[in-house]
Amino acid sequence: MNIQHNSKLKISLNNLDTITQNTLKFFFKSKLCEKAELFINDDNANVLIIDLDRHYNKEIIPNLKKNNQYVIFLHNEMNTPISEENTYNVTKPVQVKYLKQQISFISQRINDTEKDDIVSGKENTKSITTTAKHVHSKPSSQPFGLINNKSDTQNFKNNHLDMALKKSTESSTLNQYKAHKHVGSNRDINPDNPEELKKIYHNPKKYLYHHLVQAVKLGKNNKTDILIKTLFGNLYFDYNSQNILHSFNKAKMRYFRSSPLFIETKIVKNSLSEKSKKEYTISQNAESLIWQSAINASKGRVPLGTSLTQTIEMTSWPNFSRLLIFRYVIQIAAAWSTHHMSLLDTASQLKIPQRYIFTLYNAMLAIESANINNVINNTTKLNSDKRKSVFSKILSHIFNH
Amino acid sequence: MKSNHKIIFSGPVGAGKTTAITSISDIPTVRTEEAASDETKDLKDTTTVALDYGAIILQDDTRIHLYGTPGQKRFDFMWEILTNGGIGLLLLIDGSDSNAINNLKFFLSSFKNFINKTSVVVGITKQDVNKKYNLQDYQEVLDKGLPVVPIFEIDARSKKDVSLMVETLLYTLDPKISI
Repeated sequence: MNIQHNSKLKISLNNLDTITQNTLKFFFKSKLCEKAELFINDDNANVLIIDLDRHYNKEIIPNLKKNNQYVIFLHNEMNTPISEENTYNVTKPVQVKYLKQQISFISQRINDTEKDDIVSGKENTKSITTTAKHVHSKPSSQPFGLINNKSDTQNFKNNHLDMALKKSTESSTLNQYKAHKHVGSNRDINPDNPEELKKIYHNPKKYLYHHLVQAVKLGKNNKTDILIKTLFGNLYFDYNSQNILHSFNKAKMRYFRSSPLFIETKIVKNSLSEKSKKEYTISQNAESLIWQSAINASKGRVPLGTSLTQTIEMTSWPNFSRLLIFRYVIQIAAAWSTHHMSLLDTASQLKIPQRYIFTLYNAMLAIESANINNVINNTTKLNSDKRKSVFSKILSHIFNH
Repeated sequence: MKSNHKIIFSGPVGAGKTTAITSISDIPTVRTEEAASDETKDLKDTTTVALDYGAIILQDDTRIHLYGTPGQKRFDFMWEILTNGGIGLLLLIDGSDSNAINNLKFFLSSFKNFINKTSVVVGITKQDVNKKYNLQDYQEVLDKGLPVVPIFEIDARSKKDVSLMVETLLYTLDPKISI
């Protein structure tokens, strides 16, 4: 037998975005190198770290656990932890201490399991670095760990994640990491300064979302499928399912969504057989993809020519329960749904950085739930409800429980 | 003495009011369900005959009462009593019901006075079970102009979804709330 007690755990970061992967690499290098080694993609890893907040459809999670590994879910406090065998949860902001604790615990369990196997004479001779199923042979007696300790952030010095995941004093719900990722880092501009003004506009025609919008419109008007030809590959709007089909992996898709590459894009009516459609490996709800693409393209900017001083006309609420949202989204939409306000007024009245407002407007414009109102130009002033302090407490409560 | 506030959950039979309250309540939900004996019997085995009660308990012990109205129209006399002094209405509509659009119209109309004084957020449930209409279909029956009524597809079992409805309700009442 060749049991390697205290071998390093193999940890897969495959289901995390690049920034989180890099940050965790930094963690592990400095704090956890004696216990674990990281792999971006390894089906035989002992442990998967999965960002639960990235998976709206939790049914796909079993598919991620191809070899029944241990799983550590990272999630924000609004997201319900997953309670399953060999599953552990760490709430954001992620603290090294607790991540380390969970990894140590898993490591111990694996070693204990191997010792048990030796004692019981099982023919399980592989080291933990080569099998993950093996460690799953005993059910975990540990209840899922919801870590929510508010101290011990002092030693957490990784610049990016520190900025990103540290609990904000303003809100603990949607962390800065997501917000920064989605709305960029543009500072508020002075609209009277032409140089600053340039920074907040983008040309939609250069971005994927614009072409998706055009394709879906054309498809819906003609009740037909649409082929979207780009320099980098094709996408397909399937009219019946209202989904966009493509074969781009996550990283490539994210790049496409956020990069100004699509000036050469062509949209043509098309009709593929069901068999041909299956050649596309990924199917995404069209509205959801347009929404996300518009956010990624915007990053705190609005389409060229957008008036910053005319009022917003909100026509419907986006289906926020099923769309990617970031900080302040509900607050901004609530203001527009009840008051006539311009983009700049919204920022000043709500005291929210302009980039959040511009990004949300861009996404709502793309799914046609808001536009600029050319008729009504009187901004209304927001008044506070006398129960404001109670409302504030309720919000704090629901975000923190 | 601490102030008490309440949020009202309403909607037709089987829309998920009891479940939604349970999702966010900090206390065990008080259910007044009885075996269904009328037309409700075809929809579910038990139904709320008086009201459901749950509560959010804030750090300073302030209670936010969560009341679920009975879904049957013959209990509509209770709705006005229950809504008195309420913060706002969370209206749940069963999206798998072919009568869902009419139900939305009926409940918005029934609670019109309360909604005009406060605010409403609509949650369409069971869209993943047997969706009868798209969100646009529901949006089309609403009045145009401000305020724009929030309508979301929700899972009443999901704390996250129900919390989103509460968050939206509060921000529509006061977009300047800061936390």
